[in-house]
Amino acid sequence: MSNASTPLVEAVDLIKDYKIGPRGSRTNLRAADHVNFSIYRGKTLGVVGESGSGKSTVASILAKLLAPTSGSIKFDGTDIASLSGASLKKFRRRIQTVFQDPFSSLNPKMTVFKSISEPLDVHKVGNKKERVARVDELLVMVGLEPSYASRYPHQLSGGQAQRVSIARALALQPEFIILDEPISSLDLSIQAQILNLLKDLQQKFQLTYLFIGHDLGTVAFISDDIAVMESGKIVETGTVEAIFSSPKHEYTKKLLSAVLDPTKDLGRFI
Amino acid sequence: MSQNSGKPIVEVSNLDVFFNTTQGKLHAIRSANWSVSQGETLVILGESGAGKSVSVHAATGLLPGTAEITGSIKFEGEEILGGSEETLRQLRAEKIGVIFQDPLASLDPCFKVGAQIAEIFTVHRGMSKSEAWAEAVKLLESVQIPDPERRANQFSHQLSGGQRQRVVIAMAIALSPTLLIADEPTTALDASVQVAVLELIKKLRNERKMAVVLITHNIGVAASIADRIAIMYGGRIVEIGDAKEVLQSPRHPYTQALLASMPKIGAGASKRLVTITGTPPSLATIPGGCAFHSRCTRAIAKCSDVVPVIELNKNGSLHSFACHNPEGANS
Amino acid sequence: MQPKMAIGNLLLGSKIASKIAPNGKKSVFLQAGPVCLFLLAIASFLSFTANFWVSQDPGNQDLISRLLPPFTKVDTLNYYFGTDQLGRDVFSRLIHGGKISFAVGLITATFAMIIGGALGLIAAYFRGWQEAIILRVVDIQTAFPFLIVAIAIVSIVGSGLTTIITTLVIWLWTPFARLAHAKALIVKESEFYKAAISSGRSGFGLVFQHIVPNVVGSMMVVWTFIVAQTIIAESSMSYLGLGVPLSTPTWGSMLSEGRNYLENAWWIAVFPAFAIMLTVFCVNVFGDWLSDRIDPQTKKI
Repeated sequence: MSNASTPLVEAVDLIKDYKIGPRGSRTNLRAADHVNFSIYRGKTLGVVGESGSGKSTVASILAKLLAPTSGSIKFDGTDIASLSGASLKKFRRRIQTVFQDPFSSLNPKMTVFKSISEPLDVHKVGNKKERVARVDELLVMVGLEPSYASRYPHQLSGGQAQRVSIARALALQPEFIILDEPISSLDLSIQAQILNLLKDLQQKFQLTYLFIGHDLGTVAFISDDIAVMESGKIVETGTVEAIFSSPKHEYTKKLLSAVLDPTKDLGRFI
Repeated sequence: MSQNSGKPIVEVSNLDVFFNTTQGKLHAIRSANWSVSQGETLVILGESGAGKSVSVHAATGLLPGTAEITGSIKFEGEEILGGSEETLRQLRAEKIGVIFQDPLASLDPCFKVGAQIAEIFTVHRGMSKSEAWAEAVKLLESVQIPDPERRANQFSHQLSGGQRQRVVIAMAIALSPTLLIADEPTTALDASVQVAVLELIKKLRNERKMAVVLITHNIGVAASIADRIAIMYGGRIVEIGDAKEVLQSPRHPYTQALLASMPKIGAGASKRLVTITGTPPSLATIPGGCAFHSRCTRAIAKCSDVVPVIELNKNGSLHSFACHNPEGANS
Repeated sequence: MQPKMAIGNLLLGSKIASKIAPNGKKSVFLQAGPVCLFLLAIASFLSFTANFWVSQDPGNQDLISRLLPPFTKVDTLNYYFGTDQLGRDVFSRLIHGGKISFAVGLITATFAMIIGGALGLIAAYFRGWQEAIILRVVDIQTAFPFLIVAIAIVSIVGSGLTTIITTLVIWLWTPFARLAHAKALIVKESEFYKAAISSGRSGFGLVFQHIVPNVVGSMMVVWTFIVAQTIIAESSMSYLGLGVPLSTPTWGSMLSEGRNYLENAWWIAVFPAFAIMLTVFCVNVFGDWLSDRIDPQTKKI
């Protein structure tokens, strides 16, 4: 059991290589390059980086959707590579993921009820009545009316679909949620709603988050610590305050200068 | 510094756009009024479904055939609404340059990048192939693509996202248009590339004395590049004026709420963001009366029935907004 | 107009179109697709129950009454569509012949869909050598001309209904396999699939809960088109003598027999030709309608 002194999630020297290019002249693409980080229970690690930085690769490895070339992930002290069969299934109850595209995240042929209750179905939790009650509970938790359970994804707005994804992620009361750019596809006013929701849920359920984003302002709002990634490497980590007030790495400084603040950058390009 | 003492390039008055759909006539854009002058950047800011692209492209005749447009659109002082397709096409070719959001979709993957630019010159300026190619390379240089000669010989997939967008910009300004329309030009780009592209737009605008209309949903982008801002919601312009005034002293409840909902960096992590309840409407589902009334904390009875008219802020500035119940008296 | 503005124009048009009102809805029963399906259902029902209501025996030869034009009445016998060169009633042969066409169409398409679909899913799910082999077989088989295959099989097995069905299934499983494979790969890339794996779904659960429901719709559309193709193919095979024995009426064999009489007894060939055309037309219209329903996002204003 992890306590205050051992991290819930630990990435140890992760490396992920891809062989790309035509046969005969294959080169190596290193998507994750000696990635190390720790996340303590109840905290949020924000990961920022531009496209090609490797942040989604790291997320996939953490979620055990992708195997690293070398290195390991420790979840609550256990190396996840050693999990299989029953122990893997148990692991899957404790870590969930929310992805970027709200519509690609839901099976278009499944109702909201079926999507949210799928984790319950997989792990054979509850009978039909209990599942209906649990789905209703989850819908209310994410700010949707229980009547949404019978809708299909194409009848939902982007924000609503993303709430459904979050409800699904919460179904089995996980401890750790990986959020891969969960609000990037949403309208500004909806982004704020979802950010508040995520924060509220974290407080209520003592959740631990890995939050991936490309907008520093958003990531800073929800994170305790930030890791900056470039070309597969983590170039700097630190608390939110440290990163913003005294960035050390050139790339971090570059990212910070690229943030456009409506007050500070007013008229910057006139 | 912007030179907004320039002559007006586009003047849109009482623009209404209707779409004929299988479910009847849709009143999508209502009474839009905006203008942009030479050397000035007007930013149209709003969330998706607000009608930003529709209203701008209505002004340049780029809407699908099912659209009906009424009102007045003047380009360089001349009325163009109701003009022949040929006039409009000439206008779009010579006087207006357009950049869209996705540079990959705007470029033909089968042709070299240089060839696509050169084609503009052979078709519209009657240049020979070699002359056009030389112009194309020059243009690539002016949009700050390093090693332009080599890049001109490459295909779009060989360029990065930022480079592709620069190529698209090059094509848009090739014939030295008086108006540049940029529709979410940086949304698909990384933050650092975004800064570079905005910088480029600024440089080109000043060099070529163009008027720029930029459409975005990003407040930071709007603030950084706008001389004037128009805030759109539900197919209507709800607030318009000098960028600084609108952003620092917003009068419309929607503008105020939108600005308040942004996470602010550095100033200590606040516990919760101020949010607007509900969802923005699509053009097909605009509520009656004031489009924002169902989500507005200041709504009064009148708001659900009567559409507010955009009125000038009474302090004499050109800042105007449309609200039945604004905070404080009109000062 | 700037050369690349056309693309932008299209993008803008579709961007706007997708945000504005969805398509109008007439009552489902009045739309072309369901109407055609209804007509097909009636036609096949009439064919399969031919024994009960068609007055004349399709095999009854009456050499005195040969080559009679349509709507001839001889004593108490009504030859609505005339008679053929052996005095057999064309109308009853047409209705009875429909049995073969509809049966072959439905059975073949269904078998082809099941076999092709399963192989396509296997290829997509496992990738690796399964995919390599299956796709290679698909490619090779697509390259073989249908007739060669048909003739080869007939020469081994002899002609007959089973032969036709076997031949056609062997010819026609490939489009299903390709489609199932392509669509399954798309599902595997989507985020809901990853979310399912993340929840602990594995193996059969993934295939039947997530892949199959998203593949079956398009497969049904292809099924309808394959039914149409089979009917034509059966006609061709029978026409060429590769199908059922000539005494059993089929639309194809009627065409075959009737071609020598086109000048003086056109009805022998023309009626079955019409029947084939109308059936294929109805199947295609239904398939189009179904296809629009499966992918509502691609509908226009």
